[in-house]
Amino acid sequence: MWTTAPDLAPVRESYTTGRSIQWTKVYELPEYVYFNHSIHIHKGIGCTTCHGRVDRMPLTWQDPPLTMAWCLDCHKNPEQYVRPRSEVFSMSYSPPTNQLKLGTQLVQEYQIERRTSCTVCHR
Amino acid sequence: MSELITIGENPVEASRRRFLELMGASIALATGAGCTRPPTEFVMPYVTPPEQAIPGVARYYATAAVTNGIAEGVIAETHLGRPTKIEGNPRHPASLGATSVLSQASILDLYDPFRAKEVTKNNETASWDQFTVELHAALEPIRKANGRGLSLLTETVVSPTLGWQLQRVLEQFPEARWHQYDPAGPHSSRKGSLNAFGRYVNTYYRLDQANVMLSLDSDFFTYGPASTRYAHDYAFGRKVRGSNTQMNRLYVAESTLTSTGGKADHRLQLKYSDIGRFGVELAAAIGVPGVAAVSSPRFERIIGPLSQDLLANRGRSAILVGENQPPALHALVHAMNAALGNAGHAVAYTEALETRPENQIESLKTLVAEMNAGTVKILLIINGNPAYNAPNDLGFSDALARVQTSIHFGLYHDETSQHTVWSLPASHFYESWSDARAFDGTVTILQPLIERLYDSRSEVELLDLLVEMPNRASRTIVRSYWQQQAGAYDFETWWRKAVGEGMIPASSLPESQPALQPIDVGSLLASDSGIELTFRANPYLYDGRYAGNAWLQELPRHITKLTWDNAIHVSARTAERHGLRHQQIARIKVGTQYVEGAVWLSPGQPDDSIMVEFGYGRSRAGPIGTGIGFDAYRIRTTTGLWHVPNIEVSNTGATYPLATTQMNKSQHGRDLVVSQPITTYQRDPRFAQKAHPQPSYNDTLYPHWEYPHYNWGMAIDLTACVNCQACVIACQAENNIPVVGKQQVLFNRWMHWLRVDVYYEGDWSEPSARFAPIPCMHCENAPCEVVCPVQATVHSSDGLNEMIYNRCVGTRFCSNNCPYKVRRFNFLLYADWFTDQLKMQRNPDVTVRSRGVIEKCTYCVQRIREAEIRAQMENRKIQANEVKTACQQVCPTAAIVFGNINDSASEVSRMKAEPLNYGMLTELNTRPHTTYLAELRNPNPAITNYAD
Repeated sequence: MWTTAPDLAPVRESYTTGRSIQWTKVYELPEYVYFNHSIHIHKGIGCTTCHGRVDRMPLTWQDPPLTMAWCLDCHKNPEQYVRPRSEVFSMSYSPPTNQLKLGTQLVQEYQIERRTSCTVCHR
Repeated sequence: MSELITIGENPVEASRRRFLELMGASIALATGAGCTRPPTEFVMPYVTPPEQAIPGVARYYATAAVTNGIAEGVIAETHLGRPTKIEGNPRHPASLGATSVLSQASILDLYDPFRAKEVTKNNETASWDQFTVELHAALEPIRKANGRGLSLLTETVVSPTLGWQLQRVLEQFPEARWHQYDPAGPHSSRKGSLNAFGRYVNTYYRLDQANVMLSLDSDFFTYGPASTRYAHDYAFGRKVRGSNTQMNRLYVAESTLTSTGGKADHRLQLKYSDIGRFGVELAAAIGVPGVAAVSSPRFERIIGPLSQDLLANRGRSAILVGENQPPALHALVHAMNAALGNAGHAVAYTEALETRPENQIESLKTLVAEMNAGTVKILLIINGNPAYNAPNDLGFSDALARVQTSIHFGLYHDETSQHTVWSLPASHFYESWSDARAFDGTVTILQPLIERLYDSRSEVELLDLLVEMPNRASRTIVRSYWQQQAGAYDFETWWRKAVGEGMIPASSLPESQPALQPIDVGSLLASDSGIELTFRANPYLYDGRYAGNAWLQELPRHITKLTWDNAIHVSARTAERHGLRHQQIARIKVGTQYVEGAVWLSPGQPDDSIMVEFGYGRSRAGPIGTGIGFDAYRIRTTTGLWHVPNIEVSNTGATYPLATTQMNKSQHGRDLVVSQPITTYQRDPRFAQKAHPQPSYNDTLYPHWEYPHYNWGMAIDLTACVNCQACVIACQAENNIPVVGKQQVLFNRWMHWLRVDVYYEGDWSEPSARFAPIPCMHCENAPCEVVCPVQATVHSSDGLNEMIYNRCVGTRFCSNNCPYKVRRFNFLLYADWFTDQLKMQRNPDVTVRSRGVIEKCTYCVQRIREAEIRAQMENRKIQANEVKTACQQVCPTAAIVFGNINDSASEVSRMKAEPLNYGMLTELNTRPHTTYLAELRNPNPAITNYAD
């Protein structure tokens, strides 16, 4: 079914012609914001925390506001958002009722620092 | 806005400014920056991603930066196939991890938007195919005539592959001629070695084995292929730590004030023409065979103790001589080093580096004669720009018109290609395969860092055309040469190792001990009474080839801190005597030729001695380099390459402003750059701290900072700093720092985050100099932070003073309140936001700033954050010396040390614990995180005139 799916025509075309697919950037941070994926994954921040339920999006949209206040909320209170590393890639993960207790424990375990200095993100 | 800038600007300056930023500003205004969402961006991923390419993760490749044919091993940082920053290769003998200014700036040459992009014939677009066909047609009759009529003009050829190819060309065309010319090359060294040893040898120094060094007009911290290494070895011979008070000693006799002279423990300021005499008197004093004591010696007072110092350090001293000094002095220095037993110790001799060493001036003369005689049918000029920089008496440009098929191959369409039939675009050495030797012969195989930007060819590919093997790639050619050289064992492994490490192991040339011949010193004793003129290559533009490099144009000259101009350097006394005035145009006449340039009164310039630098006054160097300064080549002749006695100089009365970044070079008794003889240290090691008392920690209304994890700081060893300024360019490359142009420098709006201050000490007519790199001090009680109305500059939890561009509204209160004056303001849109090639050089980890914001040294916070993430991913702390700032990494003398002050194992905390450690202006209670180790000098106690 995938070899003929009309939605995947651009992918097949790219594969045969060698030309890139032109993707529209949905998660567009300003140029003065430096974001590193690897460290967030390493510290137990799930994909869906920032990207939402991509698996349920027919066309991708930006889920959270991506404002500085939104970023800082988590940087100041990581225990409210952190999840076990094993759950980072899970789409359906929802925080347990004892998130604060679990989060506090994970903040300890993963050595999460509350990084709010400006140059953590702006250089 | 544009109205404001163009007032008072000459047209050339205005057009240059347009390139630098005006165009950018007008486009930005035209598109209108409203408060809407930014325009949608698109992402174009690889269809088949290259192996190991991870967006956002830099990769590093070993290669070499080539100046004057000679290599300095480097490691290039690349982001998704774009080289962005050059670092030194720690394994390479010329680098040891640092680089020279020119290697640092080479990355901008690669991306220069004004490089030659296409083949042209008679200034009209042509193609490589057309050129190849026509070249072979023209070669046909020449081949039948055994090659008669074919001449090649190259720069000095040191590359083994290129040398091998040239020999093959000469085999196929036995009657063809190959000439070499390099205007600022080691002409005197070559002839001097011929005089001393009867053959060409290569001389280099191991200054780590020298207790005593004497430089005769050699600015060896600045010029030459080993300057980075020499600075390193010099500095490591004088690092006083704790109770180790061993220091080497440097004597300099020089004809203009240089960084080397500024660092000297004893500096003797002599006219150029007196340095030879000084050399002869010294040679007699140390007993060089065949050199008799001169009657009526002039330098007894210093030569007595100097010669004793040298003799007491037999085999542990080194005498260096400047490339500008005559061959006879070079030969005499060989004899002195032999008499002192230094050969084989601090002075090393090898076979010549060049494929074919020769007297290049004679070679060029012969070529011009043949061109004028009409016997040169095809002239292939491979790199070099002789129409601009050949000695003026040769009339090279006129002769060029008499050549049927003239071909110029180079990075730029320049003055020479203007006169040639063909102009061929050359690849930059970061774009193709080649090889080169370092100062000691060590070979690096250069690998390309990026696909060619334009339809260019490399030198080896061009020569391959001549031997009729067209369209071989540079990799194939270089590999085929080394396949023969490397021997029979596993070549693939050998090749991967050699390329990967950036050098072929044990490829330095074997040392030899050439036998001395009797030398003649008679010519050195002549001295002249009139005004003499001396030439030097500009330390940054070199022979003028880097005139299009805006970083180098705006990098302040070592002592004068001049930018965007050369000048006529005279002493104040001479100026007064001849009616010359500071920043007024004077005329220098040599024979029938003259040049006019602006006068700069230079402390440290001997009386009756005028110094000018060549490399300026280019007429075809793109929008950046054209028309900058005056062209000193117009008065340079084959008989006066470096020195012309008895010249005429007069004031024209016209004023000409010169742009300097430091207008005041007196410390006004404040002792900011603390410098004392080693004897002071032995009496009282904490002298510097006493000169700069630190108020009590509690003398502040503001709360104390606490740094639980890291506390970043810097220590700068002023004894080690030799003012090479590589740190300034490294900072510029790493942190996307824009250039601003001459007019803005005149307004004091230059943008360097790091500067090296120069102060004169002692009698200003014969001064010593003090150097101090000044980055942001990252003060604990930062005066800038408390006056910012919008909190655009704040303190971080790890000891940094942060600058947040997007909060900044441009009040400049912070800059006004900074006692160190390290904050720079974007008065205009200085950064080029629109030229594609320049965008490719930018460090993707650093914001490109816009108009209206302050910026300053961040301690390379992008490197700190990267290391932090790396460490956390590996569940560890950042190691003691893991993070290096760009200025630290490039520093040849390890003068700049950065690290975590909280970690007692770090080098920076060890340095800060030294008794020499002091803070600049600590009496203001700024509590800077950047501190200094006071400078120590090691004067000879037997010489009493030490300036301090």
